[in-house]
Amino acid sequence: MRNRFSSHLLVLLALVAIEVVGYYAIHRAAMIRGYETSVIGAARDLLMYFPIIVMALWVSAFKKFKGNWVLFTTAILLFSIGLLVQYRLYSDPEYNARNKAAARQEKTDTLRMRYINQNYDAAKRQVMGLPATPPPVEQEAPVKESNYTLGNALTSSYTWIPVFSLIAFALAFAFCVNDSFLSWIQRNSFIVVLLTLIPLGIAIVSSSAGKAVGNTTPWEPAKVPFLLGFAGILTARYKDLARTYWGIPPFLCAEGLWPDADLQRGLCNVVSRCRAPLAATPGFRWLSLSGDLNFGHRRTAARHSGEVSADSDHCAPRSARFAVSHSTAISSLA
Amino acid sequence: MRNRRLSESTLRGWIYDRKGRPLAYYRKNNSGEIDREYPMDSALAHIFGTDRGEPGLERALFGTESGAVTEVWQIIKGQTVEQKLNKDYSLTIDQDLQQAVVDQLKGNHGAVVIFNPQTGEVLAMYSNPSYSLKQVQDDESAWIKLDNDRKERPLLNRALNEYYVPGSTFKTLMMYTAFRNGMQNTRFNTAGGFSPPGCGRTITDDNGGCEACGDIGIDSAYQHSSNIYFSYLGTQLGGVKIRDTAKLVGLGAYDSVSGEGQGRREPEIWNASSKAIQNAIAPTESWLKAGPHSTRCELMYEGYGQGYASQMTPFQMAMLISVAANLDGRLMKPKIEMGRAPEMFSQVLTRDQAQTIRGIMNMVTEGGTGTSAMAPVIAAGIRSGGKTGTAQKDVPVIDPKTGEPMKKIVIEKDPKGKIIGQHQETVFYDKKRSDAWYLSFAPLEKPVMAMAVLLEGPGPGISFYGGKNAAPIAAQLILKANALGYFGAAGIPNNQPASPRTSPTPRRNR
Repeated sequence: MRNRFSSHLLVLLALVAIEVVGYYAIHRAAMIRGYETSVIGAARDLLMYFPIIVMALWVSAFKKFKGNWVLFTTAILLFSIGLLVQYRLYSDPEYNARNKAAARQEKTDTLRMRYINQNYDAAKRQVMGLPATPPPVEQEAPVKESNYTLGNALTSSYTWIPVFSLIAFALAFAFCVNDSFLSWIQRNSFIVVLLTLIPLGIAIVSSSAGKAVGNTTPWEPAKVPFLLGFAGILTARYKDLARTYWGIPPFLCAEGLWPDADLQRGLCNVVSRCRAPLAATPGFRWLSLSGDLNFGHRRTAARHSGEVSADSDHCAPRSARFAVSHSTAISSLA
Repeated sequence: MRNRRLSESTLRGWIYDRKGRPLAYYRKNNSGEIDREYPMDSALAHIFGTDRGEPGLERALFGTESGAVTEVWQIIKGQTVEQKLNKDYSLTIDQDLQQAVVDQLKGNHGAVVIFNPQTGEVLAMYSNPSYSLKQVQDDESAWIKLDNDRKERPLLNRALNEYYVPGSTFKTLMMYTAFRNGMQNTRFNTAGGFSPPGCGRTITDDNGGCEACGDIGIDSAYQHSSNIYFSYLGTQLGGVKIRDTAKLVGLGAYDSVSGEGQGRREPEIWNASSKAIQNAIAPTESWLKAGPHSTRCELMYEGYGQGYASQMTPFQMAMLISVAANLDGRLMKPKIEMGRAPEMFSQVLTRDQAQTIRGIMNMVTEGGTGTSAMAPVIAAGIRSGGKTGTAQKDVPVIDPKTGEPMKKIVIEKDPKGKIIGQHQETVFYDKKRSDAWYLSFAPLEKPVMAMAVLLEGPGPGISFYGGKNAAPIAAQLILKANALGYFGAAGIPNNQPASPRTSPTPRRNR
């Protein structure tokens, strides 16, 4: 999928459609089992997609975001799955019941009676001690009706936490596209990380039985300053990390990360001791060649086959020899 | 998880007897819960089984693996998915006949198996003592208690899974073998018993001498249950001929007593719609030692149902009598599901041979060892055939404290009296228990029931006989079947002969 906002908007709309089907399926399955899911709760959940889509339009149209939308869409996908699963779980009387066995038995009995009403003939019903004619399907009322009111929805943390999150996202976006803010974070990143202690302290005081405000996990707010500060530290130390190729051990560079000759050259540039990866390189190539004759997708290597070791210093002789003797191999690798 | 929930919430199908009466169904109780009911309860406990222990038909017929699971779109559409799980089944069992068997076995340990020999339908099958399905269903401790009862062993299906010494009823197999090999005219002078050289024992009849004395043929020998004659016949037939016939009647025949496979379950014997059903009611394979390496002394004992022919189940013995009771001399595969086409297991005898053998078996009930017991049957105008059998069996002493068979430590010494080791042995009563058998079919003209009645003796050393104790039960069951209309032309359900499309089931080499 190309990284166009319209494509991602289409995915969002498809997600909404799937969610609608999912909510209806859950509602229907619940009715079959003798309890009613909250229509208000379902409407509240589905309405969450309105600010999400508005948010996406705002970021795209007003903030002129031209970056990658995959992260945003993935987050919404995960949010959608969570929303549906939570709706399923919290609607189910068995999930919330103290006596889960009894609650399950109630559901089982309802299912069974429904099956009997739909499928048993008069003779079987009479043997069972039931009236010969089953009640009309439309008269089948759920054993447990939903008591979730509009007031509940409006005051629920399930409503406000996502709304708050979206507002926080908008604010974060607004700030993070601001260079002066980023510079400030970068300069004060360690302090920001230390701010993590404040929400953690609050969590210690306010949490009970592993839950804090709004039935959330108590350490959630601590993630914000931690991630922000950590990102700041990363950007500040970027060059140092890059010199170690982001901490990836050199032998992995040769075997696991073998995209093309550019990388090989890059490795020689950034890794101070490149003897080890390059020593592994011919072996790896030999393995690739013996089993693979169709490497046409690695075109970069072909482009650089003549300059494989041009910029290398102490790795140069070995690499150069390799490049010459295996030029066709490199080409076929490409 | 999904399957577990499904099996909990989905109603199983109902099980009916052959006349459409429910044997397992649902009922709404006073507190509004839907309970599985078993009108015959313990009468069918071994066949139905429970959710605990080895599966019976209840689990085999309605297992969740036997049907598709409901999908989301089917729920949305409000669609009810037709699954095997909630399909109704009719069994070939006759509720009335089954109840009659239960009544007849009351107070005895034993088993009765009744087939329709023409189709292989199981009309009744019961093992006593049994247990209450309802009780076990509601109470796990009840199951544990039953499982630990080593003395009564109520969970054991004696009809399918317990070995008994067949005694004289095994002479039926010898007679089939003789007919199959053209040796039915063998004669032997029974005076003085039979003592083959090198075996160190003279075979006599139960009276210590001969009950049918003189130069007798197979008919007279069978009628009077001559151990001497059949002991001699066994040695004349030889292990190979006996083995070949044994395999045709569903028996395992092994050339060694220490080979593998003996005592295995034999699910393939059933004519059933699924392997799950076959496994749920699989009999333990009855077997004997027979083959090229059978010695004369072994055959001498096997000829009259002793020695290495001591591992027979009532189910197998009912199959054995079914061969002669089948008009065409065929062994039909047993079946318990109504509506399945009959399948032949093997062609054992010719039509004429089967008819002749039925005539010989009839002599048992009209002038032989079963005559007095069958008097009420004859009085009712019903002619039948049968074979009595009485067999002694070692029985272990049960420790009243543990409920387990008692063991004793045996010290092993070398010839000089030095102790070289020790081992445990089960303690048996000094006297053996007499088990009573009666194999029977009726009516003679066109048999619709073939049965095996087995009664365990009440205790070691107590007199118990096939003709005196087991045969009267068979007589009552024949009368019951007659009362139920089985012997009338209109009262014989599904009495069609075997479908010509069936072919003998190949048996694996043993």
